[in-house]
Amino acid sequence: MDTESGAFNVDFARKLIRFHFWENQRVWDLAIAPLTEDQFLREVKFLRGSVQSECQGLINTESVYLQRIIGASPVTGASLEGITDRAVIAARWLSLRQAWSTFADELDGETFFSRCEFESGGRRHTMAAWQLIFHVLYQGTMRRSQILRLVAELNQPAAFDLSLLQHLTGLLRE
Amino acid sequence: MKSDLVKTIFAYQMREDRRLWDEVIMELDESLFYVDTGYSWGSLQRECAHVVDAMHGYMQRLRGSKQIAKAFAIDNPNRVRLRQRWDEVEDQWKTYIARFDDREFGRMVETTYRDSLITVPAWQLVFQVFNHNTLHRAEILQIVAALRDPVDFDMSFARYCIRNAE
Repeated sequence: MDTESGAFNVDFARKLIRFHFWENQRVWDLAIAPLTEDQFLREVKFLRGSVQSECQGLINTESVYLQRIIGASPVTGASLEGITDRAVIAARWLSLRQAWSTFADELDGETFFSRCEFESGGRRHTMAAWQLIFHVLYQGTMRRSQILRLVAELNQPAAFDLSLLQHLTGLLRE
Repeated sequence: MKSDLVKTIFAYQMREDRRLWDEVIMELDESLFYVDTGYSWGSLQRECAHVVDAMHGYMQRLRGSKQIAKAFAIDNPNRVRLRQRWDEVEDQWKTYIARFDDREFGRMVETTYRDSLITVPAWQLVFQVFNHNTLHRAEILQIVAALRDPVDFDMSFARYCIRNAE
């Protein structure tokens, strides 16, 4: 147990969730938005994907894992299969960001350590909510790295770097 | 409780780094280790050296240093030397994390970052390293894909947790 009120302080987790969506937005605005439609959709063979498929994969993870944490049933995907319109994808991402933001605002120690049961690959699994949250955070870090690599191949290398500490300290290197 | 969480994530990070070295980097023809692919740090050599440097730098910050020394005294360590240095720095982290407790989680650390003096809780420096290593594991796989072929390498934290619980 942590601290002032006697309750577990999850402020650090809140900060990490906010960082995840802040950095998603930064990648979208500075790296994805400048792409042409063709660049956004084009598959880069040696990287096994396109910017569109990476965005779709991350949005799906954020959607499915949030549902698993809050106990939604049945859990449904983000329904972006075949969607190529960036405005639609951006709107879906924004609504997910808002849902996660509400979740983060209301997050407490009890929810953070609660056990979440879900089905995946035909099997039942039980994980702690914090493990599901960190799965999303690490998927985000990996996917954003992959997106910037794709953007460098399709357009030009991004002129900014990805860093948790720059977000937490506000010391950005543009 | 927070320290248990940090220890679990650290174990995952260390396992993924070791798998990446053992199953991917050391399996490559050594000549490929030095090839500049033209993205980010360019070669696996420079990419790995950067990661070790960062791990080393944040360990120094956690110990209160404001003058951050490089991890290497030489410019172009070969693959064996790099792996050795990685293991040495990782051992320092293992020692630190083994003693990590909830008091350490919130301990305020005064250090430097991007030429500025900052005061941050220790957890922010620890999670910076976790995030940084994750980012660079992805970049290392991208470099390998450019040099050879894409590698199937599952880095899922959820699957790691499920396997460990079985």
